[in-house]
Amino acid sequence: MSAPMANRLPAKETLNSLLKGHLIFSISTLMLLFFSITNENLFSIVKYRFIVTKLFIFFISVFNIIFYNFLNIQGGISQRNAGILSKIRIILKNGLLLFCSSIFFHVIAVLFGAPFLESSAETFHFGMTMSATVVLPALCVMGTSTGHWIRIFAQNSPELGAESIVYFSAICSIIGAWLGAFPIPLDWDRPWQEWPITCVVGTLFGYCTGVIIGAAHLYINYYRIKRIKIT
Amino acid sequence: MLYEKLVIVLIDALRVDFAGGNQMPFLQSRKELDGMNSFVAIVKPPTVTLPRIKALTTGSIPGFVDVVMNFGSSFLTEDNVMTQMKHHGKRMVFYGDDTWLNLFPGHFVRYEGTTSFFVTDYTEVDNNVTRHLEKELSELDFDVMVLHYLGLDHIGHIAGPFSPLIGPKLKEMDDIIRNIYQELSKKDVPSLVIVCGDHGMSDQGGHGGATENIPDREIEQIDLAPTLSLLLGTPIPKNNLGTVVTDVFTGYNIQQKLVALMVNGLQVSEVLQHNVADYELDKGYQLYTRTHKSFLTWRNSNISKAVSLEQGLSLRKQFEDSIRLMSSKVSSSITQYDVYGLVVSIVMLWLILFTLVSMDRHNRPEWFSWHVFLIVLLVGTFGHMTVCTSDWIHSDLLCDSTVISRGIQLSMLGIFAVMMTCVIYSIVGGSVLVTLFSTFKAICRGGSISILLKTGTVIHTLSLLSSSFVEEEHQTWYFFIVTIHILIIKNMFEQIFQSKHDTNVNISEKENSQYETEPVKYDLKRDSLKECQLLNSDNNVERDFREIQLLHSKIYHNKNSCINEKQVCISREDPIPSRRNIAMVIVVLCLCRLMRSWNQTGNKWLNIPDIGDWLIRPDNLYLLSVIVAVSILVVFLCKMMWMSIVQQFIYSIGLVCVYLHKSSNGSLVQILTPSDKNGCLEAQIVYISLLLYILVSMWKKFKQDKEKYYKISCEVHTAFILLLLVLSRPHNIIVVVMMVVQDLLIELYIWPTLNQNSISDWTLYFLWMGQGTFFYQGNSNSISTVDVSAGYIGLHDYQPIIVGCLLTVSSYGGIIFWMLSLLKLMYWKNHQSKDKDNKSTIRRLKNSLIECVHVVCLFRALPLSVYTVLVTFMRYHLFVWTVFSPKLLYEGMLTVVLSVISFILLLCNIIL
Ligand SMILES: [Zn+2]
Ligand SMILES: [Zn+2]
Repeated sequence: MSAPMANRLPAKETLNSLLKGHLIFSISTLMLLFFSITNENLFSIVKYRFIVTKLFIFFISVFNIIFYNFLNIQGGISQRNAGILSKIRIILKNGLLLFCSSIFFHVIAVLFGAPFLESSAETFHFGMTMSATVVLPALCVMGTSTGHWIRIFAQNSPELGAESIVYFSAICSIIGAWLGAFPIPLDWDRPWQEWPITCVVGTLFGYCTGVIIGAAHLYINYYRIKRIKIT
Repeated sequence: MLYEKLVIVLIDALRVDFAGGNQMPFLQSRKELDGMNSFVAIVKPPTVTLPRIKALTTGSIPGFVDVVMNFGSSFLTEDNVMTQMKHHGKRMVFYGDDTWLNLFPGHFVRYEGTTSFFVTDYTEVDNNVTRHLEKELSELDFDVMVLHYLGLDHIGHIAGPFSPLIGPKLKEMDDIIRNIYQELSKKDVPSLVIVCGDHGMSDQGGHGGATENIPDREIEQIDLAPTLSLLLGTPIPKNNLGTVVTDVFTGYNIQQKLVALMVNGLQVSEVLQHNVADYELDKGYQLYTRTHKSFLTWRNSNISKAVSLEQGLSLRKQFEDSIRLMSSKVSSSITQYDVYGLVVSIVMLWLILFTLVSMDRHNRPEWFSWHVFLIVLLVGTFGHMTVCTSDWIHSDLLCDSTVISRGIQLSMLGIFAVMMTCVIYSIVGGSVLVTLFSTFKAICRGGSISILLKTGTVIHTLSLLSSSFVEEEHQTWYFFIVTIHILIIKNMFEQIFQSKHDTNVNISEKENSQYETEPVKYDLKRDSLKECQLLNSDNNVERDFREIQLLHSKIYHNKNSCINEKQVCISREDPIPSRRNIAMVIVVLCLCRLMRSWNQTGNKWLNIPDIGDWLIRPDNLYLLSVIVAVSILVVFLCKMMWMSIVQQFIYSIGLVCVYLHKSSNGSLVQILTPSDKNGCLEAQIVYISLLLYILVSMWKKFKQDKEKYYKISCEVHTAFILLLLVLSRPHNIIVVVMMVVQDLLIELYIWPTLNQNSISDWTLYFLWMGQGTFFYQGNSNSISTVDVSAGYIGLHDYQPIIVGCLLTVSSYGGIIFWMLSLLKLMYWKNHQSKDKDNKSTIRRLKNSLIECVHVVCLFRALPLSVYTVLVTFMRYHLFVWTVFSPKLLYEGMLTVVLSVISFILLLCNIIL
C-alpha cells in the first residue's frame, strides 16, 4: 500500500494514444483478415498460408515494437538510455524468448492433437502466430521481468493501461485459437478446413477483438476511477 | 438346363474395383469370354456380414436388429435358399466363416468353420478353407459348395484397402477361382461358379455404407437368392424380394426366362399381399397382373418369331419393373416407425431431464398434490385411449392388450403423471426460473474449471446434432480433456503464485491494518466491483475510497479465492501445489496424447497409421511382447504397495496369466505352451484369481477401521484392472496401463490440490476421462469397431449372458474404470477430512454420493433427450443406418452401463 495510487493510472495523453493506436491497428488488421479470408487469389490465407501467416505476424510485431518502444508510451519498458551492447543483448534475449514461446505453443498444439511428425511447418506457423499475439505484446510492454508476468498472467491483475490491453488481447487470442479448432472435424472437405488455417484465423480474430475489448475496458474504467477520485 | 454343381466363393469385403481390377487376372480374362456374367450388386445397409448372408440366402432385407444379432448368430428360421436345397436332397459342404454354420445348422454334410474373432489373422483363416479344396474337387461328390474367405476383410480392418497386403491376397483368391474353374471344366457336369462379396470395404477399412458409384450392370444383392433357386430348380424363398437375373440363364429361350420371371413375380406378389393391406391398389401389383395376362395370351398365340421375340423382351421388362415396384412397396412398408412410441419416449426423456435439472435437493418447496396428479392421470389415460383406438396412428408396443403390455402402460402413465405434476408445479410456482437462475449463478461462480466442465458437456450434446461430429466424437472428447488439463495447470500456477505473494504481503498488511477491509477478491473476469457487498459504507466518500482501494487491492493482496457467496474467505487448508504437481499434470497430458495416436478411430482420419497398427505387425512381435510384459509389470508396481503378501501372490498369478492368455494365439511371444489356441484356461485362471483377490481383500478389510470403505473400493478398482487387462487386445494392454498410471497421478497430484472443486465437477471430469478412454481404446460410433473377440475370452462356447457382459465391459471398461476411481476418491476425501465426528462424515459422504448420481443421470439425460429428437426427425435420412442408428445404439448402451453404476452408487449410499 506504499505506492501512491495516482501513479497507477496512465496519463491522459498516454490513454489517448493507447486507445487511438490500438483501435486503428486492430480495425485495420480485422479488415485485412476479412480480405484475406474472402479473397481467393491475391492475399488468400488458404492458398498462400505460410506467406500470409508470416505477413500477419510481421504486421503485429512491427506495430507492437514501434508502438511501445519508439512512441512515448508510459507503461512500456523503454531501454532508450541503455548502451548499444545491452540493447543488443536485450534484443537477443527477447528473440530467444519468442522462439521458445513458439516452440511452447507448438508443443501445446501437438498435445491438442496436431500431427506429431508430419506438417510440423504448419504447426510451427501456428506456434509463431500464437507467440506473436500472446507473448510479443507482453514482452514489448513489460520486458522480461518475471514479477510483472506473474502478476498479470498468474494473478490476473494487470494495471489499467497498456497492461490490461495486453492481458485482454492475450486471453482472447487463446480463446480464438481454441474456438478455431472446431470446424476442422466437419466433413465439408473444404481447403480451409486444413490444419492450421482455422486456428490461425481464430487467433488473429481473437487478438483483434481482444485489443478492442481491452481498449473499451480501459476507456470505461479510466473515467470511472477518474470520477471517483475527483469526488 | 439345371446346374448340378454349384460353387459359391464368397470373398468377404470384395470391392467392385478389386474384382474388376488387374489384381485378379483370371477373373478379368474370363470377363471378356462367354459364359461369365459380372454384376455390381448394390448392398443396402447395415453392411455387416450376418445381415448380408441373410440377404444373399433369403432375398429379404435384413433389419437393423440383425447387426446386434451378428455377435451371437442363432439359426435362420426364415425360408432361404440353403434350407430349400437341403430339402431337395442336395449335398452341401461348407468351409469358411462359422456364421454360416450357426445360421444353417445341420445343413452341411462336411464343414469346417473359422471364427472371425481374431481379426489380426489373415493367412490362416483362408488356408483353413483352401486346404479342403483339393480333396473336394477331386472327389466332387457335393452338389453345393460354399467357401467364405475372411482374409481380405481382415486386411481391410487392419490396414485398409490401399495396403500392400491386398494385392497378394487378391492374387491368392484369383488362383483359387482359376483352380476351381479348371477342375470343374474337366468334369462333364453342368456347373456354376459364383464369386461374390458380402459387402464392400470403405477407404478407411471399414465395411462401407452409403456410397455413390455408377456401374454399368447393377443388380441388388438380394437378387442372388431367386436366381440361384431357379437355376438349381428349388422353390424361391418365401420372403424373397429380389428379382431373377435372367441374363445369367444361358441356354434358355425367352419363354423359359419369362416363366422364371412369372414365378418370381407370383412369389413377390404373395409377400406383398401378406404385408400390405390394400395391395390391389399398388401400381406394381396391377402391372404384374396385367403382364401376367398378356404373357399367357402371348404364349398361346401363334405369331411370327421376330414379333414374338420383341414382345417377349418388352414383357420381360414389364415383369422386372413390376417385381421391383412390389418389392420396394414391401420394403417401405416394413420400415414403419412406431410414431406413438417414439413420441411417448421422447416426452418421457424430456420430463426426466427437466426433473433432473430443476431438482434442488437443498430447498424443496411443495411440489406435489393429489389433485393435480389425478387430473394429469385422467388426461393422460384419455389421450392414450384416444390414440390407441384411432386408426391413423397405431403402436404395437403401447397399445397391446397383453398383461405385460398393460402393466408397462400403467406404470408409464403413473411415472408420466408424477413427473408432469412436478413440472406443472414448478412452472406455476415460478420455481423453474429461480432454480435455473441459481444453477446458472452457481456454475458461474465455480471457477474456470467448473465452467469449462459444464459448458463442455453442453457443447458436446449440441455437437451431436451434426453427423460429422457424431462420426468424429472422439475429437470432441480429446480436445476437451486436453483443455481441462491445461486449465488445471493454469489453476495450479495461480495458486502457487498467490500463495507466494501471501507470504510477502503478510508483513505489510500488519503495518497498514487500518486500511483493512473485508478481504475481497478482485477479478477482472467477474467484475466484482458490482458484486462485492460493501458493508458499513455510510457515506459516499468512504465508499468511493474503498472502491478505489478495492480496485487496487489486486496489486497488493490478491490472495484468497472466495468461493462462497458471502465473500468470507476461508483460509486454505489444502496443500499448495508445487512444481511437481504441474509436472505430473503434464505427464497425464502426454499420456493422453500418446493414447490418442494409439488407435486412430472415427472416419475422417481413420487411415492415418497409428501406433497400434504398427505394433501388431508380425515383424514387431518381439517389441510388442516386451512392451506388454513391461506394462504388466508396471501395473504390478503401481498397485503393489497397497497389497498384503497373499494379495500380491494372487494378483501376480493373474497378471502372468494375462500375458499367457494373450500369447496363446501367437500375437505375443510364447513362454509356455498354451492350453489351447484360444487360451481359455489362462483366461479362466485370471477370472478366478480376480474373484479370489476380491474375497481376500473383503475378508481382510471388513474387520478394520472406518477407512474400510475407501480400502474396499480401492481393492475393487485394482481387481477391475485385471479384468480390463485380460479383455483388451494385446496392444491395448498398454493403453490400460497408461490409464492406471494416469489414475495414480490424478489421485496423488491433481486431486489434493483441486480439493475445493465440488463433487459434481469431479464427476464430470471422470466422465470425460471415461468417454475419452472409450475412444482411446479404438472404439468408435460405428458398429464395426466392436471388439467381438473380447466376448469369448475364457469361454468354450456361446453363452449369451456372459458374452454380453464381457463385451460390455470390454467396450465400456474405460468409463467403469474412471467411475470406480471417482468412488475411491470420494471415500478418500471424506476419510481425509478432519471431522472427528463419524456421523457428519457419513452424512457428507451420502450427500456426495447422491450428488454424483445426480450428475451422472444428467450427463445421460441431456444428450439422450436431444439426440432422440434429432434421430426421430432424421429417420428417413440417408445416414440413418450408418451414423444415426449406431450412435443411438451406443448412447443406449452407455446409458445402461451408467445406470447400473448409478444404481450401485445408490446401493453404497444405503449400505453406509
Ligand atoms: Zn463380411
Ligand atoms: Zn469386416
